[in-house]
Amino acid sequence: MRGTAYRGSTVSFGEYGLQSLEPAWITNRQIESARVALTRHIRRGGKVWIRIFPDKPITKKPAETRMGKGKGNPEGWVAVVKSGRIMFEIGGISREMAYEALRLAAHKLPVKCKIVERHVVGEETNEGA
Amino acid sequence: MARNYKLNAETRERFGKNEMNRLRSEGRVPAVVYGPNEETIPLSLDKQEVSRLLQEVSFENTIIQLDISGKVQKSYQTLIREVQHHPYRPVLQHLDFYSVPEGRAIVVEIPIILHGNPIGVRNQGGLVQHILRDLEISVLPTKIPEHIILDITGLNIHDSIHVSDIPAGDFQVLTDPKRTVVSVVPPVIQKEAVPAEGVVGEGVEGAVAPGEEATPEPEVISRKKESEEE
Repeated sequence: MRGTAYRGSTVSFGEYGLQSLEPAWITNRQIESARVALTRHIRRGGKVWIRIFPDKPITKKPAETRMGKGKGNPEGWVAVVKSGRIMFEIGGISREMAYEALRLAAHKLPVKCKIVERHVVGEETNEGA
Repeated sequence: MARNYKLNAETRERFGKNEMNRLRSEGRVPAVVYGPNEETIPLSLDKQEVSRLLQEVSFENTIIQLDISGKVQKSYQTLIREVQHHPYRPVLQHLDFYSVPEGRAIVVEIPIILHGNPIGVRNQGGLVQHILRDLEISVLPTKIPEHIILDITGLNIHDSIHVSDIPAGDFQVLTDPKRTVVSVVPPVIQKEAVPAEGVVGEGVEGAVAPGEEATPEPEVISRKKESEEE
């Protein structure tokens, strides 16, 4: 996959985000798995935004079948992610907790990731209780 | 009102993608300056000088004195209108400077900064939702506020502050007064997370993606197959 994500490459809703450094197709299961890892770590408080959506259907031919005889069956759904795309955002919790939660979520995804922060000059960090 | 900042720039006579990449590798950042009744002037600036300034100030609402040398020698009072970064590398790609007209109101966005820990968070474990982070105002260039500080100490759960509640200043607010700036909401406890992970971990088909309820096609097909086999 070529190119970088010019849209959706900045933290827009929360305070911390998980940014993809590689292009990939992220399946619905991978997104769900990362979401569970995030919400399990933060337990209560905090808010999570998922900024990718698996809207592309993927087909696959069954195992041990010859080529031809038409297109394979729909197997699942993926989100097309390009380098630079913010996939998850999180807010309302402390910096340490957000970093750890996003680190855990990054392990569920098939791409190299980077944790990014919203930078506002002069802002107090409003860390959740 | 913030103090004035200065930047030195040189007029630029190189154009195009390849030339700009070469310019960036030389430690300079391409830029332009424009304004009402002004011709657009292509510029280049020192990367380190610009990066230092961008870290130090909230650039959208800070007047910066731009001293231009080279073919055109002039000084402008400017606002940075746009900063282009590489999507994921720490590379500054381009800057837009807007030459501020004297004595005429301009439209700028001012950051809204929250101050204090609300009662609803301290006593009931609520969650602060900072919904609107910038306020669009019309103001004279000499009276641009650095930021707007909102005291949220008195907010209880389900309380919120709207744009209309922001104290008036030497500016006219352009953002819709009904919009919510900040609210305190009850804590969300993720109870359903445990069974959801169990389903994913076992690899059972039908692990539902966040918005998949609306488009359950793959699951329906596989379930049909299972029932046929039975």
